[in-house]
Amino acid sequence: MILSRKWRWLVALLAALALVAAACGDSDDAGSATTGAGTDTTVGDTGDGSDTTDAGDTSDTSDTTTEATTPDVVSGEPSDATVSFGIFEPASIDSLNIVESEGFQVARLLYRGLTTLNEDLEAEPAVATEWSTADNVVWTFTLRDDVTFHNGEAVTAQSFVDGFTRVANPDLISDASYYGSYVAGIEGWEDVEFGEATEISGAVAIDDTTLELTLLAPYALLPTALAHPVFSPVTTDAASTEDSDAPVGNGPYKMDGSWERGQSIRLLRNEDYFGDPAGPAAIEFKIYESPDTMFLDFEGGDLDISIVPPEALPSAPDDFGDRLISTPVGASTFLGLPTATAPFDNPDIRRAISLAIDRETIIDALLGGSATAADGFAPPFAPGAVPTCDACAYDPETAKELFDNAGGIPGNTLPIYFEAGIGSEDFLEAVGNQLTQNLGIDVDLQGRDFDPLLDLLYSPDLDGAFQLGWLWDVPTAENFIGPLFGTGAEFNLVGYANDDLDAALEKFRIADSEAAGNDALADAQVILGEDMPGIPLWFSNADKVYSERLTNVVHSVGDFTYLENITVSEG
Amino acid sequence: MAGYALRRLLQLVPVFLVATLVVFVVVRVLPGDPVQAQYGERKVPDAIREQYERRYHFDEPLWRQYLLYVRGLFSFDLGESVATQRPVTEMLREALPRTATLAAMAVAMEVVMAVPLGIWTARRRDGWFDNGVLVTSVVFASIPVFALGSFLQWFLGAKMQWFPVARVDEGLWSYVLPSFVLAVGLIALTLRLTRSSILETMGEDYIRTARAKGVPERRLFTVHGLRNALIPVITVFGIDLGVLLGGAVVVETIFQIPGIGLDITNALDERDNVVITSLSLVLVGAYLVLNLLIDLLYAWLDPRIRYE
Repeated sequence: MILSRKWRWLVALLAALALVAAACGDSDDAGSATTGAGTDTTVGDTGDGSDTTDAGDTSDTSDTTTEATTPDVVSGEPSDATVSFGIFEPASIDSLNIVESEGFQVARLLYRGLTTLNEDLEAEPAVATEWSTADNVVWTFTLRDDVTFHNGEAVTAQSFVDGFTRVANPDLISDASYYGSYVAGIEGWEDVEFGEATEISGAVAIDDTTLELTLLAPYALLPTALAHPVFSPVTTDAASTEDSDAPVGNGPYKMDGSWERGQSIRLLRNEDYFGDPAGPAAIEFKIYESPDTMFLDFEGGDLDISIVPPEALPSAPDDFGDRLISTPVGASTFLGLPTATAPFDNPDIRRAISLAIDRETIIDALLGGSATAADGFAPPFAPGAVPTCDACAYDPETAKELFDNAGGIPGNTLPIYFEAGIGSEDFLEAVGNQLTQNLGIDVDLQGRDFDPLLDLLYSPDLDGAFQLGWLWDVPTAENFIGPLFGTGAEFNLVGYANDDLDAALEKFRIADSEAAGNDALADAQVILGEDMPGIPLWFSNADKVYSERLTNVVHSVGDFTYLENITVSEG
Repeated sequence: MAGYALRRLLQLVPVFLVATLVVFVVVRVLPGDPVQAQYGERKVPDAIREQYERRYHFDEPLWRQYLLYVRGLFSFDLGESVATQRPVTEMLREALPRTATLAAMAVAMEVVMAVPLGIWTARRRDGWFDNGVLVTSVVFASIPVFALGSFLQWFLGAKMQWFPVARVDEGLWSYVLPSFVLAVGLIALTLRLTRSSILETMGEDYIRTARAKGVPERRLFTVHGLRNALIPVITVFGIDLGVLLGGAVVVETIFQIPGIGLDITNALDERDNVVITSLSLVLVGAYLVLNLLIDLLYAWLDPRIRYE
């Protein structure tokens, strides 16, 4: 997982140490337009836009506050216009290597996988028309037979096998390969990764339109995980080629020339796309180094969609009105404590620290209001999320009492480790001041360079709190729990181990219904709320502004913009 | 003259080799692991790390890595980016013309603005014009490049919309404001130098002699005075080029010009050793070659130098 450039900047308002992977979320154009949270702009059929609201009154997403409303996804009106969209330099735009938000934004237009996610973040048919499984281990996908790549080649089950094998191929050095081996757990993927096999035993093309996937363990969310671009089909020509600057996909847009590093990535509408045709005839991704430059270019009139840098946030609602969209995305900021080390092994100490932090005040004063105070371990809109963090409330009296009864901490000083120079200092200083004021302890802010910090967090000598950010890989509340707090999990930097939690997570993994899965997840979150192995602070928003000629600009909770659905008014 | 040029050219070879060694070693001993930098917090799996190490020879001892690197240099192989696996020569093909354009335009502005203003202020010494230019140039030269760049970008770019805010979408026009920001400090310095050099030269004995022999004042200034007075100014252009190449890193970052400077900034971010080393060496090489050219020009203007 790359700490992407985007998040290096955004951390100014969200988190140091953003454990970033591409937000996994995708949506079909209008395949199943549903009524969202009470707005009235849904289009029943493949929207030709005739009944979308007129310019200036877009589908309403500007009022996203704590209760995240699900944006309605409607197709835009096809137009001849080019929409320019500001991004930071992606790590890659090839399905081989999609590990961060910027590459994801581009790749989701270039490729369509077996499944795609709807606005409720549930898997829907894309290239696969249907799928079945008896045991959540062996899955059979039936594919459409009318899908072609941008070069005209037919997309078959073998194209998917080729795509998967390419990602696993160790010679091509994909940083995203863990999606196959670790997230989805496809059998034999790891053998290819380690050079012990050349074919993934768990991915078999039965015939052109039937793909069979076998997993190492039951995983009910497989169709959701498969919506990630890393599980895209590739052409026979690309099957063993390195990361390309002009990838050939099967999505609603195709490359117009090659990626010009540091400059732009141009896409053209794919007129042969199998799904609903996209709105804008062309998309130009303009690449920027900093949010400030991007925003200046937007103000100078040379960019259609920009992110809003933290300094501009306070005045943005007045300056841009409805053209400011502030969307909660799957990004959370935590404090971590070494839960196996005294005195932090006492849940009361952890709970006291949490209760002593006034999240709302920090969000309003330092984050421009562009975040939601945590009341649980996963953002409220994440499927399966339950607000179980009672200790996330601000209650300095109880905090002090709990803290003193538990015996306080040695030396009365709490070090907080964080990555220096990426904008976390301000809010951590505020957190420190609140802890000093409410618990009477000294807080020692310890900024570190990235690599030494990483070493420290993985070492058993950690003697204080650290600040952590997390951006989900798979759109489920589980993604904020298992990888961070499961016993021995890869990112369990707090050293937490709890058999009950592991059992609940396992129950979720093999659950055969959504309800059963959610029940298991709820149990897991109750355990976390009682034990507080991490201290959730807030869930960040992505803030975007767009130019006056655009309508129907919607940003997903998966942290990407539905560019294919934008309507452009001329003149 | 040819002998002098050849001698100077040969001197470059050892200088450049020493530079490669210094840059190579300094970059490698910097803290930070380029492979880990690709992976964020996730510990790099051993299998993947091995792939990287084999591909980039990170598992070899430093001296062997250096020899492999220098061997590559002789066949114009500048290595390959750890972050993107792109050959550095390919990055250079895109970036070098942009940095060159920026530097060339900045030098052009320097010559066009500083020399005539220097001459003019020397001719009208201590007048209101001289004083006005002095004050203005000191003010501009004392503002840090970063502050001036950001201000002009906001004011002339975003607010007045006279210039592009950033990037090179509008061809040469995109380079005008960044070049000016880059050149501004140098303009001020060169202007003062030109002025004082002219004043000094015009006070020399040989000028007085020529004047006494009846050389017309106009010819006295342009032929006898100016040519000699500009020699130190030309040397300063050589030094300026070094400043420009360094300043390009800042200006390219502010104005998003994807030249060598911006590539270096990004490579530092990614701990991309190979790119940092090779691009730094390109800057070193460019500096050495440009200074050689300046020295040759200098020798041509002032025969005393080449006969030493």
